Order: sequence, then C-alpha cells, then structure tokens
Amino acid sequence: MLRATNRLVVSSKATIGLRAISTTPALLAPKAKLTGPKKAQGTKKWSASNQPAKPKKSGMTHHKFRDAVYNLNWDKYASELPPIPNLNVKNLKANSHMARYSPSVEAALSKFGGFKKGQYHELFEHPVTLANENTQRLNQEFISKLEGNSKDNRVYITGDQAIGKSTLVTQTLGLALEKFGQDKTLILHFDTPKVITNGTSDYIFNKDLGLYQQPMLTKRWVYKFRQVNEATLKTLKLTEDVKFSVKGKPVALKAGTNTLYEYLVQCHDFGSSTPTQGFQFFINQLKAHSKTVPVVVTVDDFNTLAEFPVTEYKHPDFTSIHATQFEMADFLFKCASGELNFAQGGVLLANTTAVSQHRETMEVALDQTKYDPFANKKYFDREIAEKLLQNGGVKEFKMTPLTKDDTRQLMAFWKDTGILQIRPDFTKKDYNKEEAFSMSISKQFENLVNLQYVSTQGVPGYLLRKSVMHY
Amino acid sequence: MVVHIFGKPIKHNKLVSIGLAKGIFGIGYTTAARICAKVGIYPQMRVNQLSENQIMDINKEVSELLVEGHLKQKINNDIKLKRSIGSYVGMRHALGYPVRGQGTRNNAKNAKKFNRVERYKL
Repeated sequence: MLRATNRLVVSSKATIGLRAISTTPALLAPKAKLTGPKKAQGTKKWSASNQPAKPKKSGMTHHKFRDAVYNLNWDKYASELPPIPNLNVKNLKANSHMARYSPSVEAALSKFGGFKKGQYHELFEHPVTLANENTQRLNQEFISKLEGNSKDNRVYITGDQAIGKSTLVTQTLGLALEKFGQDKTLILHFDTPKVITNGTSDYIFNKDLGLYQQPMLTKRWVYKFRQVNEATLKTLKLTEDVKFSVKGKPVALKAGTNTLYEYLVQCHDFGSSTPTQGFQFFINQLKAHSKTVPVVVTVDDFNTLAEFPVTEYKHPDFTSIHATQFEMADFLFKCASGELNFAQGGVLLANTTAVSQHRETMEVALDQTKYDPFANKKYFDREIAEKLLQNGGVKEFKMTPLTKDDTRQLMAFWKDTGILQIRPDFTKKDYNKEEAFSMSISKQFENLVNLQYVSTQGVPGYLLRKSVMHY
Repeated sequence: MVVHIFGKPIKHNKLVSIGLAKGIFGIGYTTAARICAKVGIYPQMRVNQLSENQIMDINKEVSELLVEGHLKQKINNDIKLKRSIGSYVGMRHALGYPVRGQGTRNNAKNAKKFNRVERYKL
C-alpha cells in the first residue's frame, strides 16, 4: 500500500513537452529570464575590484627554530640590562659576578663567532656572562702568561656538556682584549675548525709547501681576522719586502713603510685558485711581530679536528687526505704542539662533547691514558697525539660546575631581567588542609634555586634551559 | 637551470658527484667521487659552481670510461653472445626469464621486463 507521502504527484504543467515524473521544485519553477550577455562557465575569477586588497604576509622565516632564534635579532626586543660591570681583568673578584662585554670587544667577538647558536644570547639585549671561579683560574693560568712564549702557554679546556667551555673561550678573548687593548693584541680565533675537514672549501696542492691550501676558507678567515684586529694591524709595519700581483698588476710593499693591514687588504693571494705563499708570509709576519704584540690563538671544538683527522677530501688517487696535510690545520697543529712559537702569546684549545666520545687521541695527548699500540686506527691517531705531547705537552684545564651561590646569583639576574618568571599570585592546594596556601616570591625563588641546582648539578647550559622553560 | 656535462643535462643545484652519478649512465657514486678527486673538485661543490675548465676536465675523465651508449651496446652484445653460444643464461634471456636462479613460480616481473636479448634500445 502506498502512503500518501510516497505517491507521485504529476503536475499537468510539468508534463507539457517533458516526460518528467518528479516533484523537484526546480523543474516546476518558471524559467528565469536571461538578462545581459551569457556568461561563460568556469570558476569565479578573483579580481581586485570585487574584493578588498589583503596585504600579503609571508612567514616569519624560512629558518628552523635553532637558526631562527639566532638570525632574527630577537635580542632587540629583550628588556634593558641592569647596570653590570664590563668583563675585565681588574674587575675579576674572588666572588663570581655578572658581566658584559664592552661594545668594541662585543663587536670583535661577534665577528669571530664568539657567540654561538644555542647559547640563548637572544634573551638579552647584549651578551652577558658570569665571571666565576673558572674565569679567575684561567686568568691566572693563561691570560697572565700571555707575555711569555706561546709554546709554554698551551691550555686545553675540558668539561661536561653545556658547562660553558665555548663561553670560557669567549671570556678569555674578551679579557685579553681588555687587558692589552684592542690595538695591542692579535686574536686568531677558530670557532669551528670542522670547516677545515668537512669538504666545504676548494683545495689545491702547493708543491713548495707539500700541503693542500684551501683558498675559500683561508680568504674568509683572513677577512674576519683583518676586521677584528684592524687597529693592531695598522700599527704593525712589515718586516720583509713583499711582491704580489693583483688583477695582473704587480704590487710591491716595502718593509718598514707599509703595514700588515695594507698587505692583508691588497693581497688577494689567500683566495687565489693557484698555489701561493701568501698565508706563510702572513704567519711569518705574526711570528716577527709577536715580540711586541701578544698573539692569542684560540680554537674551539679542537677535538673535531684532532680526533677526526681523516677528512672528506681525497687525493687524486682517491685516498683520504689527512688533516695535517692542509695548510690551515697544519698551522693550528703547529701552534698547539709548540712547534710554531710566538714570543708573546698563548694557545687556548677547547673540547666539545658534541662528537663521539670513544676517541683516544686527546686522552693520550693530554697524558691521561697511555698509548695503546693495539688501538684501532679509526679511534686513535698516534701522529697527532705525539705532536701535541711535544714541548712539554698541552695543559688540561678542567672546568668545574657552578656552586650553589653562583646558581643563586645567576638566577637572581635572570629574575631581574624578566627571563625567570615567578608568579606573585602563586597558590598551592595542600590536600591535608582545607585551605590552599600561598608562597612569597622570595620563598618561591629559593625553592626554585634548590630545585634547579639539584636537577642540573650546576651545569649552566642546562640551568638556563630549565629556567627559560620553567613554566 | 641545467649544466651540460658529457652532453647530459644535470641540474644546477646538485652536488657534482651526485649529479654525475644520477645523470650519466655507467657512473655510480664511487666512480663519480673518484672523478671529482682526480679533477680536484671539493666534495661539497655544486654543479653551478663548476668552471668551464673543470667541466672540460670532467668530460675528459668521463670520455675515458665506458658509459652511456657504448656501455649499453656492450651489455646488448654480451647478451647476444650468450644467446649465440647457446648458454643457459642466453636462453633464459631469450625467454625473458630470471637468469640467476630465481624462482618463476610467482611473478618474475622484473625478469620479464629486463631480461631480453635486446636489453637497451639504442
């Protein structure tokens, strides 16, 4: 039986000329009259006239987070720093204190890559640092000896991950620049020596030296060196005459007349695609001038070079090139071994924990373990270890973690700068009592210091990370 | 944008060694790295950084190897030879069956596709 709702209702109007058995209202509806020209079918096209113009917004950055925080200049939006003293040898006290770098030193250190990614410098208006026991100890063991021979002043900084090895290197450079003045010191800093071995620079063989040269890398580094040490270089006269050609035109610089800065500006041999003696001349000049000006060589992440000496580069016969066969690495190893001695200066090397820990080269080089003749060649390079043991060996500087007072001081500074957030309306429900209890800011802060000190064991990198991510 | 090396277009932003390995038939990653080492091209160099002289040097090195059409011709000839001497491998090639002892109970699709007397059309 058909229900009334299911019955087909046939409209007499709809059946005229149309065999439709449907109740669809569209068919029953009278045909609309066309007005104007017929429009072509298709998707509706966007036009500026029918929609308000929207400003085009690109994303904030194409960088990943780690690179983004480093590149986006977020330090400009950081709150103003409270008055703190500049990092200076004179200001170093028995107690640890917060310090900043003077503007000229800060600029020099920035150019050399002294402030690295992942060190949270973007939290502050300017880079700040805690001068603590490690700084004072390194001042006594390294900076105070900079007026002596560099071969007797070689230090290798070791310590746990995030303990502040790179920061201590930067502090040392800052202290040296402040102590001797920016026009009376030469700083040679290598922030990532891995670039020597990772296959990112071109390489050519210099038959005279028996070494490979890396023009792109050398040119970039010399440019940085020139910028940072400009004031000093302008005071240093060449000790030897030198001739070179620039774009086919011969250039001659005279000893006693022209400066080392002029040589570095005019000579394009460092980036030349043919073998040159430019870098060797530059080193000889440094050596000659080290009698009057201390030369500070600092290499961060030194173990990436010493413990991984097999490079990505290949000889023409497809065997790997050893790191010591590169001019730049050879220079660093000569400095580190004391073979290349500056009359005044020092060599400061620092370890990194970011690479494999199962290597033995630096342990042997620091005389921590004995040489194992059966050691796997992959994990131990005897040539480098023996080289570093020359001239009395490199002295190890083991970093100590922060004390509880240091931790409190550091966290108090972060609290003042607004990095460490402490809630004034903090309440906590105690389930044994009916009413929730509140805690004063000072009590909260003290609890937080205790908690963070225990959980990070006084490692400043972890402490900062935990404090930033506290809530 | 492409750079032509040995007559083959290689994309400009590829590493040279990878571009050679991907672009030229008969050159794998190791051979490409060997060529780069011989010519003096650094490992992280991109194709668009190559100079005219370096491209010429690579062309010279590649031309000394058995690659592209010559290699394909050789493979075809080798298969033909095996067929002509009546070897088992030649017979399997002619039938389009697996040559190296694989089963034929199921599929053998790759064999049907590749194992022919005329493997590469030239």
